[in-house]
Amino acid sequence: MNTKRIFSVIRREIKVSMGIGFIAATILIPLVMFAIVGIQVLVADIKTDAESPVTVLLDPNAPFESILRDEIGKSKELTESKVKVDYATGSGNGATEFLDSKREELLGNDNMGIIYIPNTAAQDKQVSFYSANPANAHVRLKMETVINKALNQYYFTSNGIQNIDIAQIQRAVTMTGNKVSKSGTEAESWGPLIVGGTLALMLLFGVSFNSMPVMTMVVTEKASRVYEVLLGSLTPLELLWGKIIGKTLVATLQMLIWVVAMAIVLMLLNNFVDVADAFRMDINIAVFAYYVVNYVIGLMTFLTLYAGFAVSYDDSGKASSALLPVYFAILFPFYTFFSLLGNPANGVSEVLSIMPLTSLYVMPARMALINVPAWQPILALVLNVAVLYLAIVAASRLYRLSILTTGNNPSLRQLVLWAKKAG
Amino acid sequence: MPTLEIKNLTKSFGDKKAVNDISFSANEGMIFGLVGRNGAGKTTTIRMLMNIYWPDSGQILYRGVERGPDFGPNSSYLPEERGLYKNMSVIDNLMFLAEIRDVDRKVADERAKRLLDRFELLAGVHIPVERLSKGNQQKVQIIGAIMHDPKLLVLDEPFSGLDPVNTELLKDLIVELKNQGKLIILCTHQMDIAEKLCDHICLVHEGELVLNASMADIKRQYSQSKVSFEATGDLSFLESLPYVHSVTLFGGRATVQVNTDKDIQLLLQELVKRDVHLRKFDANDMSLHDIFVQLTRGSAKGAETDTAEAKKEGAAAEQRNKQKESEAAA
Repeated sequence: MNTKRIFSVIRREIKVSMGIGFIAATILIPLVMFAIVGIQVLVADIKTDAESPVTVLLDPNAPFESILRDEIGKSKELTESKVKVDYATGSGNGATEFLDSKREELLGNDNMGIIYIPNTAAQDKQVSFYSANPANAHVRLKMETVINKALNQYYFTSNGIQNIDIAQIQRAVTMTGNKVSKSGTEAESWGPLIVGGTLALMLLFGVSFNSMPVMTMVVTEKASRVYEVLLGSLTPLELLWGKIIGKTLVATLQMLIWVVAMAIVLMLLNNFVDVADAFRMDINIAVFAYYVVNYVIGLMTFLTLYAGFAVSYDDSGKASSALLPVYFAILFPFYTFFSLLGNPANGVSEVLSIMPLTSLYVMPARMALINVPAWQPILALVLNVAVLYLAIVAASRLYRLSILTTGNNPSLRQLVLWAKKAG
Repeated sequence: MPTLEIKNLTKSFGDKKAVNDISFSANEGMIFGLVGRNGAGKTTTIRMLMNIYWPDSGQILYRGVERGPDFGPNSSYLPEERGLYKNMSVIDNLMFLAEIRDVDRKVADERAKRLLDRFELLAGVHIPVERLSKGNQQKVQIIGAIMHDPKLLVLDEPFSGLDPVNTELLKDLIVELKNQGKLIILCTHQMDIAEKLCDHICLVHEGELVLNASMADIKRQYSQSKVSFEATGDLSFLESLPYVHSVTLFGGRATVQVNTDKDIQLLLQELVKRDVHLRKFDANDMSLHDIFVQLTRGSAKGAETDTAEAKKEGAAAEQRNKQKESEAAA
């Protein structure tokens, strides 16, 4: 292989990839991601000025009525959400008749719902919600909490337990984690998991955003017969390496820009906002360096597979359908990242963090969460490099064989056979 | 030792034999025409020559050895279809093509601008290739092919898409390159151009070599006692004439072989007598086009006979060439 010629191909790839599109994508992708998350938060938090009238239907002489009225009256949540509660009484046929009489009101959204609390609810806590929109979480969840509190209060009172702080009873135990390491002990933080998850997500984004352009580029070049000219001076392997290295450099630069931007935002947050210990972002330089190497290897592996398989097709549509299994090979390892949520130190996480491809996502996150023995990341890296080498060998064979083929598109099985045959 | 030697080259695609046992040799300072009909096997042959296809069997020797590391930087290929990055500018395409052939960037830049100026493309140097006309794209591609000053230049249908002015411009360039001592393999089905430019012709038909000789030898051999003419009128009587050996009719164009040179006069008189309106009449000067038509048209059986004969003729011509070379060397 001639490194000077590979360098020429790399330079071309960088020049082509670093245009306006690169700048726009680097700025817009994070903005779009934040917008997607932000919109969801905003939508969930929207408070309208409109009141939400709700009727609580009780059996006659409900024993918990006064406690219930008291709790509903005191509830800040209901007041802030403008849930306006009125009361009605009825049971048996009376309750049914009441519901029928309110049907028009419910259908016209003049009443957001009728909550029927029978006297038996004091024992079994079974309550019914009638509404044209029973999925209305805005009303339903808030009323559920208040009713539960009132029924608990009634239970304690009726059993002779007085003057208790019901909120204290309902509060769950919080177990604060403390990470013990050779250097000492520090309070546990969700920060490393967020960092690990973000890093895994960035690799997925890097692969997803770059694999399709690589595929399109390879297919277009094949269709335009540029290869006929290039192959006189370059070997298929030089051409493939040049493309993959060029694209990987651009994608890595993009990732680093995002990481630096994220680090600046976090630094500003740490300086100006009192971030809770639980969300403290401890970015370990060694983990980050490992991540960058890991990112480069992962990206190169997947882009190589994409380029190698795509070159057998001269139509982007057919190529993207045929490359679906390769895309699953990218997606599946990402989801193994969630195995860490249970216990990052268990056997499954350990295996996934060493296994080729899955380790690309799992190991950096695992390293961010717990102390991993040094041999494990090294072994994971070696295995991934071996997979990259195999991918390069297979892809360059396919490149050599199918770069100029035209006509019927080969099946995935045929491609595998070709790669074997070319050896 | 010939600069380029192709020995018994064979290539099949599935059951179809695209190239069957083709051999020829060519030297520097020569325009070597590889001619044939569409799908005859010309492009497959040059793709094997340029290391794009692997031959099933046979040998390709450059300066006496199998193509080594010096073959790539010394050779260049201009494919029939556009081999350029369409979204890249003209100058970026040219610089990239020069760089992968190890040309210094400064030298490449200087050379690109000089050639672009010659082909009247300097004004569009930063325009993406896709915005150029078909003819101008072809000119950029031609410049790209000679940017690294190759010793061997393989041109596949280089005149395709060019207007008459640019065709002349390219013809001049090809002759200039030949005069600089370069070997030019010109692959075309445009016989008039091949006839004017080529020193040596190889005619490929259905994957086989049916003619391999210098242009002078071909003319001498095929034009003797042969008449080609263009005419309007009934020409069906030609075959019944006693002094006519063979007739090939193609539209209003006829190629007739008579028994002796004296019979040419008789044939002309007969044509005039039968009120055939002659537009063109060439005696002992058969065009390459007519030779091509004669060798490649007709029934399969006829073609087979022609092919066998032409192969013998080709082998003899090859022998004569080698003899001349050894004499020259001596």
